[in-house]
Amino acid sequence: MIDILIVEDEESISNLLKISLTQAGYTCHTTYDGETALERINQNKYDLILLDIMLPKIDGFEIMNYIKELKIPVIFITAVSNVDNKVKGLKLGAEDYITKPFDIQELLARVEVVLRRNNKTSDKIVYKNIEIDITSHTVKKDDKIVDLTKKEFDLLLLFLKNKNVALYREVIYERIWGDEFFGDTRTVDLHIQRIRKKLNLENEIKTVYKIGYRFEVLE
Amino acid sequence: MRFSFKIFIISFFLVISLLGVGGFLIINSNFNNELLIKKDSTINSNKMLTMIYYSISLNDLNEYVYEFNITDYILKQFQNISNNGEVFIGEKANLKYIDNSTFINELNDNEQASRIFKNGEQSFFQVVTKLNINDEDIYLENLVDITNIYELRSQNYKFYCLFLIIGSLISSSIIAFFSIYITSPLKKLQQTTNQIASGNFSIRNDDTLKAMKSPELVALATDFNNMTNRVEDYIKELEDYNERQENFISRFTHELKTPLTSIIGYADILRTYDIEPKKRYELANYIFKEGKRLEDLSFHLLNLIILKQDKFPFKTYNSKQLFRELTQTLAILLKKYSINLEFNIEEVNIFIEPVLLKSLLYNLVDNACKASEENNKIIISGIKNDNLYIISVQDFGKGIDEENLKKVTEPFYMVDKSRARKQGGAGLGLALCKEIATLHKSELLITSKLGVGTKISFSVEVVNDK
Repeated sequence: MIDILIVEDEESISNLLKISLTQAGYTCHTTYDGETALERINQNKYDLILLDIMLPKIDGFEIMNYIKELKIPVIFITAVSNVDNKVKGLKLGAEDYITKPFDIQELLARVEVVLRRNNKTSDKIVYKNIEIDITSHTVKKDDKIVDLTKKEFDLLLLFLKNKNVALYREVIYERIWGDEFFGDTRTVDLHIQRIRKKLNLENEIKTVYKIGYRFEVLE
Repeated sequence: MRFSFKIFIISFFLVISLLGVGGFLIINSNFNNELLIKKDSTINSNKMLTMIYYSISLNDLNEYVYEFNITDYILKQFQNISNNGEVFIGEKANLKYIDNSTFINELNDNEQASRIFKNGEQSFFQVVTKLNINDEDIYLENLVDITNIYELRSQNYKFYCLFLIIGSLISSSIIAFFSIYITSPLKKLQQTTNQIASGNFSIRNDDTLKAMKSPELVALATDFNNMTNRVEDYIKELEDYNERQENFISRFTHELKTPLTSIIGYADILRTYDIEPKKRYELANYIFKEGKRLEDLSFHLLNLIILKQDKFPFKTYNSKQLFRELTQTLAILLKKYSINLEFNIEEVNIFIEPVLLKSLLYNLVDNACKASEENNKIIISGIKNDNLYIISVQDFGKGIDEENLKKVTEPFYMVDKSRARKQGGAGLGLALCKEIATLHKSELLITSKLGVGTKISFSVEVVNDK
């Protein structure tokens, strides 16, 4: 399990981060000011810290200064988007710097990259007899390489990152094909059928009536 | 060229040329005078000689003393009484000097002529008179050695040149010293200016400049300091303004971006996943609340912009009426927070913009309510003080500490951020109030003590009815 500490004084943002990251399979802890953040960091071990800069009591830069030796990867999250601050943050040793307003998907991607870079997660996802190597873009089933197109690969990854959640067809299309969805869902259906066949996932990838698909982890 | 060097060059040449020309003129005129005196006396003695000779030679005495050489006698006598050089009487050929000069040949009878001539190193003055007595040409000559006059002049010249050289050495060193002394404060001033030009605005011309005791320079230094003071003030003002502007922008972006991030993020979750209804409500509620916050922000911001631009219709208003109307608009607010409102008001006519003033008072009371506990009271007072009507709103809530007190009227400043958020504030209320007060030519005077309460007052103009 990966533990992420969210230090953000805006309750709505903090909650948003928590929901999204929990959904993506991380364990999240939240604090709302710099002082309690430091206490928490001293008491517990975290794999990643999301740090706001404008914080009550102790600001983000000061916290960063203090926890530099702990070698915990930090991503700054802030509304201040000037270059000086960005450089200051990165110089202090932050792994990344995200400015508000940010896209949740972008945030998740960056979190993933930072975690992988720090060897907190492996670049391999294993589900039953299927092994996915994210860096080399290969999928093995029973140790044999299965040929997947790029879209099929991305689709499989999307499902594995959102286990047990119903995903809307439109959003699936948008995530994988990148365009705004404009009505044709057959592309999605076709690709999903192919993945099911190639990897024997007929039981896992369920069609949800009127909504889309869900990857169900079978116990 | 450096200023001190210029002063030196100019004054040096002025002194030297004046002394030089003046000195030589004096020496020359001295010489001319002496020469003139010598010439005159020689000419006169020649005249005298002529007269004596003439009268004697015309006299019959000649015949009696034939053997007696008149000429020799006269010459002897004359030589004794006169210092004017040598004297000669006789024929032309026997004159002391008859070189190629024509002036003797051109002499008519009874005519006198004179000349200055040089013979080797020596100079002479020669006066000759021609007489014709008994058809015989007689020349009477006076010859004076004037070499010493010329020598004196050249001696004077030499001496004066020496004097000039020594004098110029001394005067040049004195002038050089003074020109450096005079320009040294300027150099200091220049150093100061240089420092200022490179951005060090806090530097001033120190007391060494004033020690120069030259009133013009002291005045210059003082003026210069004054100028620097002003410039420094202006620059500080500009910097302050810039900083405020920057603060405003960074706070504004923060205030804008936070709700936007939430709205987009929550909406994204809602449209991505099929979520259970209870959770869905929670997420939708976030979107709604953050949307409201944006709305509030844009309204306040709009007001701030309008307040800075427009002119407003001011009118005469009765203070009692104003507060009566205010009570009506405040009713819901007071009920919501369970606050008792007390008035302490003098009735007087005031000159205000009623809509804005009510909004100002509403904001102040709203703030007061938020700071108060339930069942606390808030006092609104209006007191006439000469031409001003002083209105204040006082609460007995938790108060503001000193550090925060200075900043409360800055846009987006919130003393208790999380609490203000929950109460739906954007941090623009007091900034707005300040602008409205400014429109009424007043400031917001805020006094507060932690745990005791806050009092905010401002003034409006009283209309004097006769």
